[in-house]
Amino acid sequence: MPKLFSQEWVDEYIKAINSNEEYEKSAKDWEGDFLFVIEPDEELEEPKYVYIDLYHGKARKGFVVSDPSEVNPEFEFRGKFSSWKKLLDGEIDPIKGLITRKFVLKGNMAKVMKYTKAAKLLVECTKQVETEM
Amino acid sequence: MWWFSSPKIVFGSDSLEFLESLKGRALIVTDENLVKAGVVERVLERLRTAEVEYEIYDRVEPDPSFEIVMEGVSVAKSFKPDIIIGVGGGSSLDTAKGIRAIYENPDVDPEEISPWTELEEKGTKLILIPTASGSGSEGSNAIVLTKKEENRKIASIHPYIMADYAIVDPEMVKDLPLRVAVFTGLDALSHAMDAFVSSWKNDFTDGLCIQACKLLFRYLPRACKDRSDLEAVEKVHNASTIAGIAIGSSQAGLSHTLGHSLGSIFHIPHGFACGIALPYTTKFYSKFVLEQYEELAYHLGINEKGEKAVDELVAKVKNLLVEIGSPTNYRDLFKELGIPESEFYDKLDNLVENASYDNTILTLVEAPNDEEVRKLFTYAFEGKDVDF
Repeated sequence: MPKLFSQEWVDEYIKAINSNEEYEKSAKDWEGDFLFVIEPDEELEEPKYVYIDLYHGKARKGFVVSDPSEVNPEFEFRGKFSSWKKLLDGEIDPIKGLITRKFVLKGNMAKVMKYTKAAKLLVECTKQVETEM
Repeated sequence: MWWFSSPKIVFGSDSLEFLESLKGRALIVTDENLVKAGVVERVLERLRTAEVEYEIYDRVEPDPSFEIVMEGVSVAKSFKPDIIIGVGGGSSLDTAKGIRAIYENPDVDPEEISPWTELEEKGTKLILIPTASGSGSEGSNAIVLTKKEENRKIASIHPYIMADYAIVDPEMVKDLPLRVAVFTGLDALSHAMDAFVSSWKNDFTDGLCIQACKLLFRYLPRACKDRSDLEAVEKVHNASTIAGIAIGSSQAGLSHTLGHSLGSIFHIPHGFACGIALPYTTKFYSKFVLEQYEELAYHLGINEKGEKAVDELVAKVKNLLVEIGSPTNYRDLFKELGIPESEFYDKLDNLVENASYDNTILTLVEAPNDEEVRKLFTYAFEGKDVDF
């Protein structure tokens, strides 16, 4: 079982995205890359970063990032480790998570607001990856 | 963690009197038809009594665009109001919400208002006075604006969007044309039924949804037959605001996914677009939320369980549609509105695509796939019982 935000986990997540036909349809025009950030809390000492490039309904590439200045993503989605755990367990709805500031999304909001179904499906894809927290 | 919020609500006959307690400068946001019909004058009389200086921005259009909001913001910047008063249906009220938001936060692009956008309150009060009983905009933190070039409605929510006061005065709706009473009432019903089965449903809104449904099933037929039936008119007006408060915290659902898409392409009344969808979306969606529909059916006097409860609930909605003189399928609605049937099938791909982009998808317990959405549109158009 891959550990959250390990390269193995990223590879499995990309597989889940790329085999999801509904995601492919709903994001068919999407062009934009993300940096996902786990912020440290009581259970995590150092931040973790994953870069995913999403393009026309597919994840083109994804990798673990050690230094966030190495990448220049269009969007950044960040939250504490405890929040990520709840998100992946389905205890937190991602939009509620953003409204209640458990997560922060940086980037062009108007663009994201056009792809709400794709965003929902991206989170659902994480549930297909058995994850060791 | 989640929130429930509501404006302060002034309701009942003579509640416009509240306006006489205001001080400062007020910008009225409305449409020119309401000005011509003398409806806005009822508000102005009260403001004059209070010696409130006012200016009227009356260029709100149906399905208001971002451009209309920005035009209203220019008026506000020039007039510098202390209070913004939206008077009208959902279009005027949503425009007033947008104007207040951008007037106070001029660096924010209205298209980028998402639930997590930083919006700052700077003291301009927002008062909303509905002149129809449907959108519930006066009670919700939602805003729906249209992106004209994409023929697409963009719905968003934000805690800041909530009005400070809602004035729910039945006097403002007693002269509502009967046909408008029909489709606005259906809008309120679709809010109450959708919010009760949303993935964001919660203990603070469930009771509101049930009460709104009870009031609408009981009083909407009377209010749609005779606008001098003031008891029915008032109860439906209250139900609309109650349902609006519910969607602010729980959100609309599948009837709105279809309704927003249909409305943005064919520009048909939103209440018809959503309300006519209800029997079809309810039956389809019951596979995910059977217990919730069973509970709602129970509160509406249906003593059945499981699928039978859903079937009776669907029948009850259809009966209501017939009783208030609404079409029960989109084909009949298109006929009534003079839209050729072929246009529905020509635009079916666009309808499905727009629905898949709709923000209401987010709060569905399970989002239907494109094929299911296509079938829902087709069944709702042809009036077929949902069997998938």
